[in-house]
Amino acid sequence: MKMKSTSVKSPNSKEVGFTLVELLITTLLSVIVVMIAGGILINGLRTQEMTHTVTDAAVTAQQIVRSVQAGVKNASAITVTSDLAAGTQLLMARTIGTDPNSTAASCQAWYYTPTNGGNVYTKKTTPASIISLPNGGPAGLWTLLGTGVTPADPVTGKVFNAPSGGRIELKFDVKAGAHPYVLINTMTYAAQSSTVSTPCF
Amino acid sequence: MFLTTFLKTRFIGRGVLRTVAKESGSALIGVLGVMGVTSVIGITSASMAIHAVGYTTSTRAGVQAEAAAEAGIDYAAANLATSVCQSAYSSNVTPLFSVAVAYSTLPASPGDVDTSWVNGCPIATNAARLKLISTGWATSRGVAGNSSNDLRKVEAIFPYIPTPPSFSIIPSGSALYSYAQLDPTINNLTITQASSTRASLQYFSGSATCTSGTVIQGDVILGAGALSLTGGCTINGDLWASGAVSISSGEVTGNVISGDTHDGTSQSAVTLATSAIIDGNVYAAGGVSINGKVGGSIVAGPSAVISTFSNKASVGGSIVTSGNVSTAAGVIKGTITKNQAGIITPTIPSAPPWIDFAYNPNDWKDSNGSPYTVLTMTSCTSTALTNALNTAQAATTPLILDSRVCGASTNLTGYNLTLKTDLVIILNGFTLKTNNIQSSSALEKRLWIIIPDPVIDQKPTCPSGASSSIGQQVVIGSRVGAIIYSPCTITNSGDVWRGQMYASSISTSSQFTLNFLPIGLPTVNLSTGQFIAPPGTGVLGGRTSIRDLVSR
Repeated sequence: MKMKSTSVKSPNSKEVGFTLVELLITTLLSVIVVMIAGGILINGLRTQEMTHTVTDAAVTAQQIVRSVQAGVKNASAITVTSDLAAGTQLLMARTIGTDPNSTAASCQAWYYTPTNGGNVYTKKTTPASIISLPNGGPAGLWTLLGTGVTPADPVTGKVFNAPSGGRIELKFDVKAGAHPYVLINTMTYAAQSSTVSTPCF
Repeated sequence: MFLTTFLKTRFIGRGVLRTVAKESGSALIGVLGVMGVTSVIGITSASMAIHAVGYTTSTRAGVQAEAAAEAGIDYAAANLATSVCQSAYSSNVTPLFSVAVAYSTLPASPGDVDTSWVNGCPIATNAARLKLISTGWATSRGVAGNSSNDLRKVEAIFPYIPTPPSFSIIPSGSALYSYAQLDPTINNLTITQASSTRASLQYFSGSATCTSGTVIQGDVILGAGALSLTGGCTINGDLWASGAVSISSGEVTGNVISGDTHDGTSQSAVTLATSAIIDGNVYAAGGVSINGKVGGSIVAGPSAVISTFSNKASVGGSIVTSGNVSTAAGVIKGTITKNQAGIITPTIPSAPPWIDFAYNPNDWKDSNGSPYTVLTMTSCTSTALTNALNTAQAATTPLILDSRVCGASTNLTGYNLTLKTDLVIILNGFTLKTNNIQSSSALEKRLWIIIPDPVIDQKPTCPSGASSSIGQQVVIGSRVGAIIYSPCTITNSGDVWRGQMYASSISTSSQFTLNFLPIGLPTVNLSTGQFIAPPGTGVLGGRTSIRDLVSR
């Protein structure tokens, strides 16, 4: 104790240091600061994760809608086939191109499968030729439009609903991680008066 | 920094200060580290949010642009169905669109690639299809560089049915049409029907007072005026008047409709004296005062406060009124409904607006499309006029005689014409007197006497100093149909006319018989007051194709 007192009282000594009280207070303050900073970081990371998942889901949902709308709007015929056992659906359209100088037709399909969390794929054949679903699910030339898709229609339980009048109703959720689903409930229609469906279906 | 400050203030000892001074950098590094990580997280989140917002606004812009483009298609199609084609249609207010027109002579596309389209309105008489390409713009554009959906293009194809060139003149209009009737007196006027078309007397504005001996075999429409029947006048048809109707002696065999809103307390919309007869129904916006006979029912309202029925009143039907009813011992066969809510003001069909008919020789063509021969007088001596009229009545193909060189009035007094063909006389004004105009054969001939009105203002514009006068002993024969188009007031003392009259004002105070035969004028429909679309236009059929086009 004497040595410590002497040491403190000798400002020129090289063995100066913190008292226990100082160390304790400093440590306590440091812990508080680290906890606050950590909290901020954790909240920031959570916000980032939420933003990422929700915006991803929203963009995915809109991407699917845009694709279907663009294809169905110019369609001369549309049809939806479903496999109730597997829960899959295939939306087929014979659609006219958007080239101002040509009215060449294409076949386009959108395929929903509940496997792997629910995926929507699309495929287009130009010149128009029939699109068949390969065994074992879509692969190869099928383009994945979105994942985490589940039907949202409580009545039909389908993503693609085709009531009469050339309309296609889209009702589905896109999973957004642990956050609420992004819900899509919209309708698009085939405006063409022609009803030619060959050779697509 | 916070830690350093704290230590400086709490531990004043020099050693402590020295120690703290040596360690100040470590705290700053920690703070900077936290800030760096936080910034990365914030920037990442913000960029994702901005991307998502941009994508969403782009989706919204696409929907708006698509709707605008489709609106453009509908707008252009609606205009093409009702008016002459324009090579482009556009809207500068929401929805924003611009529509281009093209046509093809092929009835159907030859394949996937169709090179038959020609930009612009269909000028070919064998045009078979019409294409509209509408570009629509979003009202709310995409943000954060997402502008790809701000513009959309939609193409629609319609069958196109060209209107075959038609040179026929539509027989249209009423027996007597006055734009603004100056003299309301109708005296000894007889209007009969010379064809299957029902006759009518129409005043766009102005009132009528029938004083004696008049029989009108048709309807009377006073678009802005009142009617008074006295002296045993008879209207064998319906009577519409925006003003009050007062019948002291006379009969209307049809319905009487008055838009007058006098409530019946001091003045009534419809007043019938004991000698007045209405065989049909009475519809009045205001109250009615009935001393005579009404064969049908009476609806008075919504402005009626009191409707009065004397002990000489006779009503064959019911009475419905928005106000009260005062009845004496008259005969009212139906029910009486007072204070009825919801009575709608009766609609008075306004007479068609004035047509400013300017003389254009190219408008006059026969049924084969051959233009009328034009004979333009260069001087207006008596001999010149006689020679011109002799040429006109000797002509065997339709002829236009332009006598405007004669000044404010072409004096046709004493000339008798025997027409071998249709004749048009263009003049600045006229005096008809002691004329007998007949057909040379059993075939009907037409005669147009026209004072052109080139001022497009939907009002009659009489040439300066011009006058129109029909004197006595003017007879139009039984196989000639004649029309007078005059933006001037016609002073009428004629005897018998077969055809129709369309004028700024027509006096009817002298005994006059009009055998109504609709003649009409080229390029216009006098019944509707509208110009007819010129030859070469067409109509759209049902849409055969519509598709989105690539927006680039």
